[in-house]
Amino acid sequence: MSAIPGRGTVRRRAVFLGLLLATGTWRVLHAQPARVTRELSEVADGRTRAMLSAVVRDAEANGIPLAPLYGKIREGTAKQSPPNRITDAVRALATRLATSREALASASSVDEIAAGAEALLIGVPASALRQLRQVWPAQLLTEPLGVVTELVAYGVSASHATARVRELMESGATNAQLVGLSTRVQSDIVSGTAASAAFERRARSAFGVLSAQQAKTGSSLLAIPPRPD
Amino acid sequence: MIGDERDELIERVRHILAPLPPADPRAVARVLSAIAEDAAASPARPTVWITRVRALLSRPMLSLSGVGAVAALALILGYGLRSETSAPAAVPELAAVDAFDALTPMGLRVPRPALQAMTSDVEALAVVAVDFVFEGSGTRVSLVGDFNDWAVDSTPMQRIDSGPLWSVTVPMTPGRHVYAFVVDGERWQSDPNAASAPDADFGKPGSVIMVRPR
Repeated sequence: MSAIPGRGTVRRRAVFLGLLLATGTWRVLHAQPARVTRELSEVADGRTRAMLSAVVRDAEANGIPLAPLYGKIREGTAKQSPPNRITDAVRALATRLATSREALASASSVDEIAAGAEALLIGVPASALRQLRQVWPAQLLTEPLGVVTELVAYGVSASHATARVRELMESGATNAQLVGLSTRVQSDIVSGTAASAAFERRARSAFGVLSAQQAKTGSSLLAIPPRPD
Repeated sequence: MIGDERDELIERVRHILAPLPPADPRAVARVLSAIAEDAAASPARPTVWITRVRALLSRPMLSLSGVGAVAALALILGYGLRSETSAPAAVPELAAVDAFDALTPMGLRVPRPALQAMTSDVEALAVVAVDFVFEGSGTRVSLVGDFNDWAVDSTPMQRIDSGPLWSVTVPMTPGRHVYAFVVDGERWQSDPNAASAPDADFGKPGSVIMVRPR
């Protein structure tokens, strides 16, 4: 049988819990500003800090991942860029992240959304991101998006790169195979082959490998799709 | 001519790096298993807290205190969860242990499996150790990129035998990464042996590496 605590004990407990409540409330209310302040501490200019802080808060309110934005701020400060360029870059990235998140669906990982934003920067349309998500609704798209981005950077058209990568994903290509493909295309380009021709040749070769794999497992043979361009 | 020069360079690097002994993958597996066991054996602190709170609430006290306790705990828990979800994912730092792979004709930077014998938990991290080599003059060289938050001082490169070659091994997640070399803390240089990464935002030279998952 437990004894009823005295009035002094109850008062001490009430004071303790009150302090706990006050501390918790203060931390909740000040948590995000503290994070923003810390992340922006390298930015010397006060006006730029305020503008960046507003961009970050706006992004957070819209459910945009903040880590890529903080990364862009750090990149700009490390490269000793003028404050207005850092602000412009962070604003532009926030817009691309929002588009990427919308195209890839909100349940996507931060890395996927960031990879989608990189793809958008280089000229891959948001519709391509949606197409890739349709093929891999539950698998991470970080690597396929990176591959498409690199292929477009090499000079392959966005439509060609997206279509072939999508077909390879549908045919069972793994992340390792897709990344390996882009590496080989880069080697071919260095050797003097035109980007588009190198990619087409390597993609056909990849279809051949996937077809052979499927033949081994008894699946129906793949037909190499016609070139999309 | 350029090909001959590159071959000579590759041979020099191969010669320098060849004596490095490969680590025993089984030893790595043992270390990782020990870490996993230690983690599993750690006392579960939340259980202690739950027990204390349960004891506190089970005692007769003023209702105000009980409500305060529940509210405070909810706030603290909410804050903790909020911090968890908003924190950027940290790249786990794993030591590179296996032998160097053959150098590619494309350049001196070679992705390789970080750990060939791993526990399933560590395997899920899918981190790959990547070697970066820079050739040039300078008193200090560092590697910067999206993988180290562009911190100029966080990944210094080691000079090889007081020569023009500098190297560093970095654990990286598979996918596309942008990087650059910073010489003497201020001169940014791209990797001549890798695809370039146009920097429309800040106009500094950079390169791209596609890290292949294992």
